[in-house]
Amino acid sequence: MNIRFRVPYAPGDIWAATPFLRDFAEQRPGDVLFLDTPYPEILRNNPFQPERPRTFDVEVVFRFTPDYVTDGRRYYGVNDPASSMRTAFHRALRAATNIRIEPRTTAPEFYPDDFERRYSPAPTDKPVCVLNAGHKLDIPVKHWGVERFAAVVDALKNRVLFVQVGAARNDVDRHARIPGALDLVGKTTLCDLAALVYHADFVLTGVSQLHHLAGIACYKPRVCVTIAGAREPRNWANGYRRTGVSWHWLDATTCEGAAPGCWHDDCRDCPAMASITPERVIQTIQGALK
Amino acid sequence: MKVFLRIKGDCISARRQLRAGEVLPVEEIAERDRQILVGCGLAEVIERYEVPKPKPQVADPKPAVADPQPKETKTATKKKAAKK
Repeated sequence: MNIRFRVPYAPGDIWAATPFLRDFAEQRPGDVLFLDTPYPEILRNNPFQPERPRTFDVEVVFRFTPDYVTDGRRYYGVNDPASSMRTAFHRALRAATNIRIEPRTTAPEFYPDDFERRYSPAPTDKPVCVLNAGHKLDIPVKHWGVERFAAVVDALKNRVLFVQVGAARNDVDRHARIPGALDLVGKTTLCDLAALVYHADFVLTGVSQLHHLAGIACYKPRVCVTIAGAREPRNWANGYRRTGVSWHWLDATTCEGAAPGCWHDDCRDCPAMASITPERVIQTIQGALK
Repeated sequence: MKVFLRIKGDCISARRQLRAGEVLPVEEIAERDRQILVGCGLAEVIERYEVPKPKPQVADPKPAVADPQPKETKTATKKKAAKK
């Protein structure tokens, strides 16, 4: 059976789908699942992405399905503490085709070529931290604040090279430049970004593409600090595991004192985000530097 | 830091076939050709940093020792002496 599995989402979601792609290829060797994405570069060299078949027997358009919707707000991963973004693809395939795939691959995958293994887009003579200090304009709740990122960079810039990245698309996202960080905003392709993370010691980000990318294979320890706030429950995007990679998921209770999972995308100056201090992030990175 | 030319589209430069995605040291392409390729959007100049090879992991700090020769047992020595 040839399955066209369309994922019409952002790059972070495509990285999150790579474990599913591998699970399918390994568990259904007689079938073909072609992951159709607006960002095929992410699947470059991926041995589990087949050649595009000429015809398809089944077409599945993947959508994240909320647990429920209230006041126009979608809630994910709140009904079942075991549900996660990573396994949403497996569930969607089962719902559309009745094919059951076990979620066995535990983190996103990137296959660097020889050039990317040998060369990094940033100098590596001191520990490198890939930094996303920006946010999408339609989800301001993910914004931690330029001053807080700047405080972290200022405190650690003598020991760590911060490399600021971002897509820099006008009217879509905003990346105010952080003093002291190497500015690669708008200068990296998706594979450049992955290669940068491949050679990095740290990743500092909100819940963004970088959080997923932090899970790619590593040849030295990598620490990911994700400033999560209260928007989503801990189980939703925080379920990755990979030897050598450690995630620090910094979340907080909602402004109503509830467990994380408010899904208030449009909340500006979120108190939960503000409750995560730069000192907490600095200590986390310092702890890993020792 | 090293400078490279990343080919963005299949093309021919100085009779040399260049493939999209290929990365070349910048000095391999004459400057004039490079300017044309970049100007036409067929290539871009990128800067990269060589990554030192990771140090090999030391699994066992003890020095390797060759297999010791089996010692002759007392019985074997006695047998040898008896043969003589």
